[in-house]
Amino acid sequence: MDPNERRERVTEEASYWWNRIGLRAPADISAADRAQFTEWLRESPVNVAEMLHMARVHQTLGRFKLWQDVSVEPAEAGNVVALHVDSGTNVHSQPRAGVGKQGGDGATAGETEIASRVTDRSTARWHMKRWCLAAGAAAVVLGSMLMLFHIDAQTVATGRAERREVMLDDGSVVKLEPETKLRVSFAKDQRRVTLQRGRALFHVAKDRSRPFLVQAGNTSVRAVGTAFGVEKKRRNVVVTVAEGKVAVLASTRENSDASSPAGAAAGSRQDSPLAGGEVDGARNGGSVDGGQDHQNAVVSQKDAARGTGDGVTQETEEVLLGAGQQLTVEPTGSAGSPRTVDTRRELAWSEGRLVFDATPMAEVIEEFNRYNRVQLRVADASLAARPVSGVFQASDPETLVAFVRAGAPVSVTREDAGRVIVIESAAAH
Amino acid sequence: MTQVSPHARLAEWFRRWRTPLRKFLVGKGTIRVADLDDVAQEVFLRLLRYEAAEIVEHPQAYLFKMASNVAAEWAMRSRNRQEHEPHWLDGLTTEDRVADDLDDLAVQREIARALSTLSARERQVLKLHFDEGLTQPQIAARLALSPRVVRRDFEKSYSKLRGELRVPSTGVLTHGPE
Repeated sequence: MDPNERRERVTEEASYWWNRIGLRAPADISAADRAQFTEWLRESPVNVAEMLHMARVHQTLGRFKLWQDVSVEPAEAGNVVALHVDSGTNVHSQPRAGVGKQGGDGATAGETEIASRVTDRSTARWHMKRWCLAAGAAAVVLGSMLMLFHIDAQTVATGRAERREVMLDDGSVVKLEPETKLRVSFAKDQRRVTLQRGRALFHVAKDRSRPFLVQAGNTSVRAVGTAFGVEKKRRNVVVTVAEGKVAVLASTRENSDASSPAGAAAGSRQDSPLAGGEVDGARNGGSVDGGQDHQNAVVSQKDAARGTGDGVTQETEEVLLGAGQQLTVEPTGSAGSPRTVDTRRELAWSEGRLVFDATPMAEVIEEFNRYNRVQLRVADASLAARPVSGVFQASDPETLVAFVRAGAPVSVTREDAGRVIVIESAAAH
Repeated sequence: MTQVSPHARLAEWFRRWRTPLRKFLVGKGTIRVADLDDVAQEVFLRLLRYEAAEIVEHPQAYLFKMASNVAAEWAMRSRNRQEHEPHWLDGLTTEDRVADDLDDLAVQREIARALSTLSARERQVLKLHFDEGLTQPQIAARLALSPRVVRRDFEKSYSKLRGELRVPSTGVLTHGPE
């Protein structure tokens, strides 16, 4: 038997043992089975390896979030999510009555299928929980238990030069930029994400029963089904909406990251009125005129604490942002009014592009350095102050180097085995 | 019976029916998939060192416990060699589950693709189990199939997916602390 055949045979054996013995409590397994399994494990390290690989397959299936998109129909025209059926090498029995029935009456079959399917994912999970509690037996397949573990919080983080696109358990997709950290805590009544640092683009899956809340510093963004970016900058928080609507809430104090799933920070106080006031002009090219009348732009709502569970009633004012709008929130809680922006520009970072508008070189370099292993450095002050405008590929610092070169005589040296690029004015020698 | 919150009952259920597998699959330690075969080699050697009779009591427990230990040892060793990575530390200090490769959108799509290579009924059986939480007997009843047929579907599916799933080698198999 050649090694491939052998491995395949072992895979089948491991699958057999996994399904027979891997998931059950020891008490449920006969002594004979246990003895056989032990003997099988001790036959070869390949057997052990395949058993661990089975655990990995099981874990993977337990963490799969797109079951709703998985078609269980045999070959059917118009299967939407490109999940085609087997090539015909598998012989399977005729589908039984009432389930996945194919035939002339496609509409009826579809209805039957929908009726038997649980369409609400969160309801399905809660049904599973109830069922598991009722059963209370170790024979309850642990695969379903794996999904229950998602009541725990989850941390997602990226390092320097690392971007990541992650799917949350509700099907929402989050694109994380480099040096970004999120804490995800979903509960039955809300989906809560804390942006601890960095910036991220959120594509929120529709779930009317649970609002999606992103907390960044003193700013809270609430969405139902939409796409928006949140940037936690050194001082400000910037919210830009690509699609749909969000409600932004600013408070005067930074909300600490809640450790309990239901609790918001105790003691969040009433925010300051959203007067125009000072807006940080350091935001690239953006500013909001102080002193303007914002009444028409600001939607005020008096809200009780929105089901956050902390029991504290607070007066809050929300700003509604629609597609194409951006809001910058100060650390003081003042936020100015939403401004209309070109979201393709403002959210270009989520597409791997950096856009600058008369931004000082030093800042530009700081941005690039977050995105790349190769680090840029500017050697003289005049160069550091030079304004840069343009759109650059974040992952390619050489495009910036080329840009700088085109603008003025500079010398470019590479240090540290090419890991650092130093640019300085050619005159400064 | 006094009213107990679902969460508390669930916690109690866990305590009573905790299995080595659960510890294995839910935990902070990890085995890099790329290392899995090497870990298995080491586990195999350790399994041989024990008396068979001892292992037979709880073979799964021994398997997963040893795999956990080996992985933990190796992780410790490799961390001592590596530069301190602040983000790794972040994950450690919280109780949170650290998002791993299985959360990546690309990986979720890959799982969907791999599932598409199964037969419709294999997919259905897995879906009923993982998405709706049905046991194999319940699936058999729902689909009017014999339990043996359902079991075979599971076995075949797992075998196929073992070969088909292209998960990155940086992926991990989580294991529990022991």
